[in-house]
Amino acid sequence: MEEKADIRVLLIDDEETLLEYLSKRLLREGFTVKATFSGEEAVEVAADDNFDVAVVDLKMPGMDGVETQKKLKKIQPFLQSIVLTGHGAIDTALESGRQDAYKYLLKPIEYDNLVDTIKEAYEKKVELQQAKFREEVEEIYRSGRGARGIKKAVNKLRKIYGID
Amino acid sequence: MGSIDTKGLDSEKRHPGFSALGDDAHLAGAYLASILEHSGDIIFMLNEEGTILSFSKRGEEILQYSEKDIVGHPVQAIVHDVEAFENALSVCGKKGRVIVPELAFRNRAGTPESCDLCLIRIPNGQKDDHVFLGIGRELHCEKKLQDDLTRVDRLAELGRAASGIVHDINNPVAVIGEISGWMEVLISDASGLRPDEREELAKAVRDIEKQTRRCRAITRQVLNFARESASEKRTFDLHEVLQNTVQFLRSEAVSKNIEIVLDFMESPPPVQSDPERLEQVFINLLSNAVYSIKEGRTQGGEIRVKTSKTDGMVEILISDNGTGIPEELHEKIFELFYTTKPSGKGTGLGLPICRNIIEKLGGEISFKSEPGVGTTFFVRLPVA
Repeated sequence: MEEKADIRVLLIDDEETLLEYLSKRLLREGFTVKATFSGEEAVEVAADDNFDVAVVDLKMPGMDGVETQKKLKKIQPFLQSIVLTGHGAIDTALESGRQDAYKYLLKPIEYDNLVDTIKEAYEKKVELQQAKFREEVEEIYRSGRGARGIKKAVNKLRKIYGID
Repeated sequence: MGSIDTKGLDSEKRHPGFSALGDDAHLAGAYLASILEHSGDIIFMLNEEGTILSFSKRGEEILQYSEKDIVGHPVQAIVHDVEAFENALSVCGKKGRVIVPELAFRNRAGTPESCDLCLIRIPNGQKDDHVFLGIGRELHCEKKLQDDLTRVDRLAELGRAASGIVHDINNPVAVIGEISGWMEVLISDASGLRPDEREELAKAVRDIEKQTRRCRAITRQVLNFARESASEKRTFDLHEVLQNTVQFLRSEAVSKNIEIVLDFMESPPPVQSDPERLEQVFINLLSNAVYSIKEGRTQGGEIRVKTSKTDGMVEILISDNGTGIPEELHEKIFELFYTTKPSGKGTGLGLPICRNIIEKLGGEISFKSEPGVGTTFFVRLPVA
């Protein structure tokens, strides 16, 4: 995985100071970062902008981390969520959201570990997205359209999936 | 003992079992003799003046007197709380019966023995006076159990309170960690710094990070302690668990010239317990042992791990020939947050955690130690 790929990261944590500094570090690392301070805010932001990876704190007032990542997944099905959980809460976290989250990380986070996990989650996202893209392209070919029809449909797909 | 005169007792007060004896004085005598011989209570009879007339077998055992030594003596000779006893006796004289929830007898060595006591006045129709029957039950076991339960409760309570605080502390600690990470970036990017300045700043920030990591280690341990995950009991091979634990620490021991000797009993009985938690206990005890030897001497260190069966329990001994624990600290070593290790090395949680685990598993943990000679920890676990 080439690091220079533009990985769009959505951060969600009610601890604002933490996000302020975490965003700065991740930006410098080369990520595109958007910081949000609640699940509700994140869902709003995700309606307008596409992200590759979300980093969600489990324990937040209002919409909690599990709920948030489920909602995000509905809006952006390929988005991979990394859920941050405190010690002891991990069991409940696993129960309620094992299928949906890419990974659970124990808080306090180790920065390097987080960066690696974001990159892995991004690869997973791309992989899933491309698999789905290929599937749909095949579908288009099977549909029996003419060459021009196929080209048009595939280009449209490329746009949807952000694949050049 | 002779015949028993029950004329003085109201017939409706008689225990129904007694009527089965009918007028068979011999059977009644044998019945009474058996009670005195086999009852687990201190049963005694006093005359009106408080002179001891009879004394049960268990009473002899607990107070370490034989009946013939003590009969004919005033009851005060075997009572610790004399005033309370005399009060009870006088109330009993008036009311016929009195129950004292806790009263201490005194054994031959002078040690108080706490009992719950019931005194009953028995009218003696023939002589127109009365005698007193006393039944005392040892409180020792119940009291100890009660104390233990109170302590475990307190620890659990403390644990719950602590985990709340610790969670709250974790957040700012995480923020500090994040900020110091960012400062590290700023320092390495900054222009116009002399190399020595840059190095000093970088070191200062690394130290902040190191300290936040230390905070995390502490909070993690407190949370581990507080977590009330129910122990998962299953049957397993105790020796295997011990062997694994020893293996885990062997390289550290070898590097410090310490020999770990295993002295296992043959065919150990199966133990029903929680192997993961026990491993935690053994690691704790063994690393304490390693630590004590490291502090104590430079060569010839030995740690012995011995297993045996006693009183229907499995006993695990972990002994070292390290520095030992000074007498005045014996009371403190199981206290929360008490540690003799230099700051940053010990949290004062290891042994309280061990004790908590073992007691939750229905076992016991104790130790013997002599400064300069070494320390032995005893862990006893119920057999499956």
